[in-house]
Amino acid sequence: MRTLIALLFGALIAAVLWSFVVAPGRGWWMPASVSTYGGDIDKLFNTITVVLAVAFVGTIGGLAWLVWRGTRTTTVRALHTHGNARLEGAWTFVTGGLLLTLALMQLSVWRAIQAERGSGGKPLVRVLAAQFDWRFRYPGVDGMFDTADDFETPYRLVVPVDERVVIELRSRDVIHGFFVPALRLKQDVLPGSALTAWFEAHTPGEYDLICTQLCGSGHYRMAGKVQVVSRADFDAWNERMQREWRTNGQERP
Amino acid sequence: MSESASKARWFSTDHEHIGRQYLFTSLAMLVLGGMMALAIRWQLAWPWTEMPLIGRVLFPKTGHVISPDFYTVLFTMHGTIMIFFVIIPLLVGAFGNLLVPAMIGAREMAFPRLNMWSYWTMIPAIACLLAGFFVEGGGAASGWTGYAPLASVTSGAQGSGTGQTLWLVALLMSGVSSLLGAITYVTTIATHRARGMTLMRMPLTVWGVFTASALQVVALPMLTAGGLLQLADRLLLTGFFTPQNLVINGVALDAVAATGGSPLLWQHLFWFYSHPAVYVMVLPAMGIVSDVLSVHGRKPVFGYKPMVWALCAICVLGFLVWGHHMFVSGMSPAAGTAFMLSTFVIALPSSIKTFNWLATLHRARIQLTASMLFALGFVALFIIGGLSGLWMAATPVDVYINNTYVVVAHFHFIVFGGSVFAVFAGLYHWYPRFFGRALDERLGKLHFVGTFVLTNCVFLMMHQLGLAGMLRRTADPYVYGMFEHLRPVNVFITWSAIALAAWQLVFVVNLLKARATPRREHGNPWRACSLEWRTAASAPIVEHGPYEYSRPDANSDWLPQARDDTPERVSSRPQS
Amino acid sequence: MTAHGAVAVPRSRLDPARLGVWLLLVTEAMFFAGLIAAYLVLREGSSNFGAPAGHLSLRLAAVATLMLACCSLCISRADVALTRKRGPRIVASWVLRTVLFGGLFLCLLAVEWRECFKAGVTPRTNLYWSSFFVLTGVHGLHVFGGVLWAAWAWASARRGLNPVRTQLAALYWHFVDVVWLVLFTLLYLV
Repeated sequence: MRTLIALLFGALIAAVLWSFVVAPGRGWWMPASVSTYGGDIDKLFNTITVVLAVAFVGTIGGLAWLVWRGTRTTTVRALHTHGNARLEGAWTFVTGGLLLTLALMQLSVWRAIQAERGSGGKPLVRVLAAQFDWRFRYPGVDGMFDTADDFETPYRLVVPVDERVVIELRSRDVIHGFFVPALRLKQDVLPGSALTAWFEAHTPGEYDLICTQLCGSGHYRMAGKVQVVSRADFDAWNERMQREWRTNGQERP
Repeated sequence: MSESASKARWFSTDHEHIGRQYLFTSLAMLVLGGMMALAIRWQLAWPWTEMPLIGRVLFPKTGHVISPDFYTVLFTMHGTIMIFFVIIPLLVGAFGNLLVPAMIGAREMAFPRLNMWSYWTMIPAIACLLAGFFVEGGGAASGWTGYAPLASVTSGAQGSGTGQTLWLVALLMSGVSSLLGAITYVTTIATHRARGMTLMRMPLTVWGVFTASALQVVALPMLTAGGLLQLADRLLLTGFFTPQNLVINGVALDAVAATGGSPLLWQHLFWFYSHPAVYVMVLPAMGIVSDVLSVHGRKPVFGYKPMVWALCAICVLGFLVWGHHMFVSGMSPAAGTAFMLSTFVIALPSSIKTFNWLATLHRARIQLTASMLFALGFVALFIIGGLSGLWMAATPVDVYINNTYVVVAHFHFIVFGGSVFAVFAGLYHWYPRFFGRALDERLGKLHFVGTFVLTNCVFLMMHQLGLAGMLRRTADPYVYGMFEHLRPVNVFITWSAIALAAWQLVFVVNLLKARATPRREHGNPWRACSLEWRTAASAPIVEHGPYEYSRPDANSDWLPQARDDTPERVSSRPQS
Repeated sequence: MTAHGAVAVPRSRLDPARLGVWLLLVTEAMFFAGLIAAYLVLREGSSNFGAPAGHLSLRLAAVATLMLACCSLCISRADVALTRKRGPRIVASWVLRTVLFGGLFLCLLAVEWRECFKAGVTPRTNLYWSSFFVLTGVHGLHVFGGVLWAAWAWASARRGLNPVRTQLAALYWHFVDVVWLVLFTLLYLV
């Protein structure tokens, strides 16, 4: 039995380490980051993961070793002790210090991601969520929302590359979640308020947009895309969309 | 059996009887919730395919497959059942009743009738919840968190009609049930302790139930208040959680109800209780594990006082961290920072407890009984669940992880790997005490090995799924091309889950086998010090702490807590 | 049952019943704190909160407040009478007065609600009225519970039994009154 337990704990350590080593290669991992602050989040994540790995191997390994030692056949009684104040103080202090360091490390990143909240930055686009699809409302050439040249597109959010993009999130019905894994951006879309978020994508391409807040039975299929294009392409697209919107005679909804 | 005797059996005010009622009711609910988990897993591995054999029977109207509507009902019910009708009643209701009075040397609870009503309020709550399956529109379908306005507006979702209202009523009733129990426990522990049983001589299980009950007394009413407001939103068409200008399912709400409310208000009221509820689900488990480690390691709990203070610290800090569920909800960034800091602070007492468990095992004489194995399993799995919590505490990282499978992995390691393992540890340990029948040790060890391995097979890879971005509560992740390659992982997890469920038959066999043996007096089979194993009939007079194992000055390696309980009294004066 | 016949010796001077009622009051206080916090959050934060219209009768509410104050006064008179070891008739009569004043309060509440419905306001009129009906309704239920409790206490006080029941009812009534004062201030005055 005692060998079996040692093997079980050993296997647990091996399995966890294996799963984390093998995962990135198989794509069971965060997709490559394409946003400016994504790198900072990943760095923070990696640092925490290293700390966790050390703590995990240390504690489970320790547990396995203690069980192995404690199950030896012996006639000696167990050590009678009710504790050790110094030891308690030491590990409280060290763990506390470690946790505090981790807590402080992330403050700047958090501030950076949340910078747009309440700063009144002008949104490039309004994200309109409803059960169960995404629509995106652009202000058109005049850059003003709620004017005649606004236009809307479904499903696909088109944004320029290498620019700070501010989005305004609105919901028509229930809470939705705006999540673009590649951008490391997630923000709930709260009905009754217009929340803002921002990102700056540095690689053109097409990325998945996922609804992450349960919004009804169609929640699982509330998918969208974020397309990152060059500024020139964006302008051209913007103009074309606006023309089509007008020629199709679609009025402001 | 005469009518009055049968009435006495059903409506007994005897705490041990109530404890057994709680135990079997919640084990039955565990089976039900587990079945739902398997159905969820089936859908995630092979979405929209027919379950062999049973698909035809279960889903005759939806082409023999789980419909998206029913899938939402499934995970809503799974969460609600497991939290409110399995883990909390098991740890607090069953173990609390079966152990607390015995451990503090009380003959009965302070309020036996209140205690009985606590159980009998839970039964209609369960009935209400399950009735949801049979009403028009189906059961509640807005997750166990019941976020408004999806849950608060009657047109919010399929199943958001009567089913959702029944769900709310069930939640409110289970709250009343928990409150009655909590008031009983706190009062009993405060006033009914035996002579000499000072607070600092109580076993940690009692401390666990005590702190959990205190949490419930203070935090639960907030959920009741929120639930009541949501009920008003649904039935009286008030608008506490409904903002203006919403159009849900084609209904313009401004025309039919009062509006202008705040969806975030519900989240705050909900998490103000439901985060502490997480600690309600783990504090008694921590206590049970501490006791089991000490008895089967023949060694006093290392750092009893720090352990007690850690429990109390978790109890108090538990009130300050609810906002960490809401980092991406639209709460103000400054509040996010505050909740992040408090969350890192609450990680400290949990780590202190872990270190103390490890130190308890240092130079112990460990007996690898089934109970001890589950306790060791608890420590290992709790470490994993606790560590992955740090990812979530870090706000920027949580932005990515929130509502993905990392969260699912995290809380299942705590609640399944933690709480359920502690329940098994407790059952193997105290079964002779509860039922006068012992569970088979060999089967118990077999049960542990399979359960431990399979638990990891089920939940470990969920971390990777979540990191790849796979979202919670999805009926079909493969709608997104970026999750297509996760299918083999999901299939593996589903097979493991089926195996894990099947493996529990070993435990069922063990229960049946114990039932077949005649009831007899088991005395104190583990040679444990604490009062619940006392065989003497006299009033206990407590002279020691609960963990006097392997004292060098004693004849045997244990020293019972009560004076008159001793074949082996030591002559030297014991210290407190 | 199992063989452990430990006799319960309450080692503490804490009276279990009293402690139990205090714990009940803690949960009740948190419950009302939740409701009141929700009310305040919405009142300060919502753009569509609405305001009480003229058909809210301050005079009626003031009389109701007086009724509750009388409840508190009478039950504490009963409490004092018990401490001074007065006869069961005196104690019981004070308790009975509590029941009556509590009943009067409930009648006034009913009148007030009827006036509101007559004037066409309902819980779905706006958030103020949602809060008004829910808060006064929940509090009214608590007063009703208090009336039942006092009646129960009266039944035993009449025969000079169970003084604790009266004392605990007093504790509960004071709590219900304090909650009303807060609600009265928030709903009618500020």
